[in-house]
Amino acid sequence: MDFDTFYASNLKPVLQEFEAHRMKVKNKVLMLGMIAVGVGLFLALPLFIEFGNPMISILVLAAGVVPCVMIGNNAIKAYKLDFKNQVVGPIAAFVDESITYTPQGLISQGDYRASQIFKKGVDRYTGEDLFRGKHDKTAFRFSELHTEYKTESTDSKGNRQTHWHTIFKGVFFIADFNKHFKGLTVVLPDRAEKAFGRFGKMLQETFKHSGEIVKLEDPEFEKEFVVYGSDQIEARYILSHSLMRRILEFKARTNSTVHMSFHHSNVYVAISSSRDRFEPRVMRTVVDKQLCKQFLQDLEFLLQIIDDLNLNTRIWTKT
Amino acid sequence: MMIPLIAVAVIAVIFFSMYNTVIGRKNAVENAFAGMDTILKKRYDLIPNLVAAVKEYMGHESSVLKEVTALRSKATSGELSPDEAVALNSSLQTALGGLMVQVEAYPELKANENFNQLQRSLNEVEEQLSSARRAYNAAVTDFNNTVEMFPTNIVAGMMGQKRRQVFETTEAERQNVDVGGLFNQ
Repeated sequence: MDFDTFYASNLKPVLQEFEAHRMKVKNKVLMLGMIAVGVGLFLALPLFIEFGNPMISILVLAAGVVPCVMIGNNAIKAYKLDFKNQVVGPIAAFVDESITYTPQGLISQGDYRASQIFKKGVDRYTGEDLFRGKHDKTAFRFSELHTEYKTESTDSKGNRQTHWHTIFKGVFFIADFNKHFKGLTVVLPDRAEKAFGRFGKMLQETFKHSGEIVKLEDPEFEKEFVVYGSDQIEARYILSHSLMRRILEFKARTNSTVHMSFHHSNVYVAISSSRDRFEPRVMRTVVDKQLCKQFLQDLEFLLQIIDDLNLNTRIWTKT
Repeated sequence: MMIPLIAVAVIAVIFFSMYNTVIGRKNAVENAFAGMDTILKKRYDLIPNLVAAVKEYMGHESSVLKEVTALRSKATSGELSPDEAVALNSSLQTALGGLMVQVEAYPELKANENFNQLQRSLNEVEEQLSSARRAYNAAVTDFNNTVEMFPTNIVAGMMGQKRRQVFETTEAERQNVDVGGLFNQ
């Protein structure tokens, strides 16, 4: 079945039903917005003019606006979850029957740590849209992920302020690798060498991410990435000439920063991206084939990693 | 009085750090060579099983089988210089490649689970071997840079260290596989 038929027979009826739900949520949000503006305009503002004390106005504003925002947010959340279950889930099953989709699920923190890609300690760990399945011979799972750490500063008045800094935001992809290996190999974007050339390379050797630096033969790959590994031979066994080429092509296709690691018989791929995938709209209609096509493309793009990295070629002892 | 002393100390520190760099790179080369040796042993261990599995189907008269067995026993006999080992193993690789081409003519053999596993193991060992070779070449390149580049070349010269050879693909590997010729053997 092609996607157009699938859309017409399976998705469109669901979406049409959803449209009523969406309108309800939309009206609710608009209504709440109006209430909030009303409270500000006709209550908080006159009170401020009358008494000249901002404290009262702020209290009134908080009492009026906060509940509106909370109610609105909850309505949107429930709507999105419902949509994801009934629309994104079937699209995933259309792409590959083995895929299970959990809208509120995410790659576990244990997996994230095991990848050893990002060494910075995490203070806030969030994510959504977990897909898991088996594409031909390769088991995989991925989700959106956002990891942050915080710093605190005190300004001149003695107020403490918390700042959140992103470590990683994007899609975190894990798949079963097609070769056996024991150690850890990490492939990171080569910022130092790009910026400082030979001197950058020396810096990388001094400030190692983990293990030893692995110098590979492909000059283009060496320019884009820096590789660290616990075992020189194993790193090259994993990063064969063809895989290096494939990674380069994959990187060009994603058009964003890519971190990778090979550990615990898995390949971990972290694709940085600020776009929030698999999200329905509230303000505009959802009965839209283009919207569903976007979900399909996002999903297929991510599944393509398995073919890009040739993970279904199982000519070694790992089946 | 102090200045010459400091100068001597600085020169000594520089000298020793360069000396240590040369030693470190030399050891890395030896280490990489040892890594390759381990994988060669894996290959030797695999061959008798492979030969046994193939024999049942191909019969004893196959010349490729004989060649593989002979090369293996020569390789494991022990008294080989690194150069001889390298040459022997490239012949072994060619012979194994030939064997795998011949296997194509035996569908029952290819369907055999045991043989299948052996073939996968062989693929694995061959690929590991090529990685080990790449690791060795990377270590040798580092070492050669130290030996030839200024200023470490001075220290390396004093230590009697010379440029080493990287592995190159053998003439036989560079030629295209002559499938017809292999069948006629």
